Amino acid sequence: MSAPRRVLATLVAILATVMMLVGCSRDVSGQAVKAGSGGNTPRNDNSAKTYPNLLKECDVLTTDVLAKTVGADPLDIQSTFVGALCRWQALNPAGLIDITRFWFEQGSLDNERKVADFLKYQVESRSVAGVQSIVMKPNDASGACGVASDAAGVVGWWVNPQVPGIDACGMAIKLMELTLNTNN
Amino acid sequence: MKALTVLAAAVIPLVAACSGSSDQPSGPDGSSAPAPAADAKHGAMFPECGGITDESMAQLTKVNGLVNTSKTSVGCQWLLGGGILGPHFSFNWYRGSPIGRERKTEELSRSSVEDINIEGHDGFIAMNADPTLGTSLCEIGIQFDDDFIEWSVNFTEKPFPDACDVAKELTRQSIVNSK
Repeated sequence: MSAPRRVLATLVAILATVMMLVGCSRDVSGQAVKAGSGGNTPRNDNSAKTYPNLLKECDVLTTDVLAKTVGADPLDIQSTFVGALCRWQALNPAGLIDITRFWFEQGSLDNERKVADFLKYQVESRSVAGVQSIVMKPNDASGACGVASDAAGVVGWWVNPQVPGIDACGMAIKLMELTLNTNN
Repeated sequence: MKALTVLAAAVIPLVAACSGSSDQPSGPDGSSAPAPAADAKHGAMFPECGGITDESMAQLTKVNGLVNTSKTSVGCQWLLGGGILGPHFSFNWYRGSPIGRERKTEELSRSSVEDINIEGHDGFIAMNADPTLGTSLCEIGIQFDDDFIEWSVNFTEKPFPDACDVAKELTRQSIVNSK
């Protein structure tokens, strides 16, 4: 799309984000409670307090942050799908990169692991920002990589480069670290 | 849900976020909090991309030059030449996420949303009419316990086959491919 529209997009996105934060930040709260944390705390509050960044749906990280993390100019990223699953495409100097984010508030890391095994992905357990997580690698020539973490249900990021030689796992893990950031 | 335009991409999350509060139960004192995540009942298992090959996509959509740009555990996306300018097609598999929220988002932003049943499974079919193209966007969500799948079909240039026929057939084949 053209440059003027990009500027408009940025302005509208900022406006929408600000309106969300001001107008209805409590309303976007999810219902999931972290497994094992009991049912005494309203789930929305629990999620909001523990992972403030998780509750912003597709705006959990700004497109500027997304672009920077995958080595793209902030003007060269575009949303293509929104909801509990969000998709973007960004232009890294080496080539196009698809980014997918999911948050399943009633999901679980165990179930994501089960699906990754079912899909015959290579699955590695690790901690991301102190949170139990898995890193998933399909047998993909371009080195696609996904990460899922046990946070207020399950949250995940996929980075799918269209060309080889891009550190997709490093990018996905960085996006997850930013998502699980509990300080802002 | 397909982000139709730049404006929609920015505004729809806002609308969804504000509207979602009314249909999400919340215990005023916490005592009636919904069942914890561990109780989610997961549905059928779908192969990668719903088991739809690039050849099937080309055949059903009549679009040549589609590239599968995102094979993941949560779905796949096909774009013309791998770029976002042009038609978009995607398979999306939500596990432990309410289909009702997605449907609500569609109801707030699409020309029409109706019930549908495919291969014995209930869900919604959402379509959007473009002033020049006609019904160029069709999205079908089908529930499987606490999970759902969604096929999104969006054409951007005439001529194109009936978007909802394409979405229905993709959904049908995915369900047949599930275990």
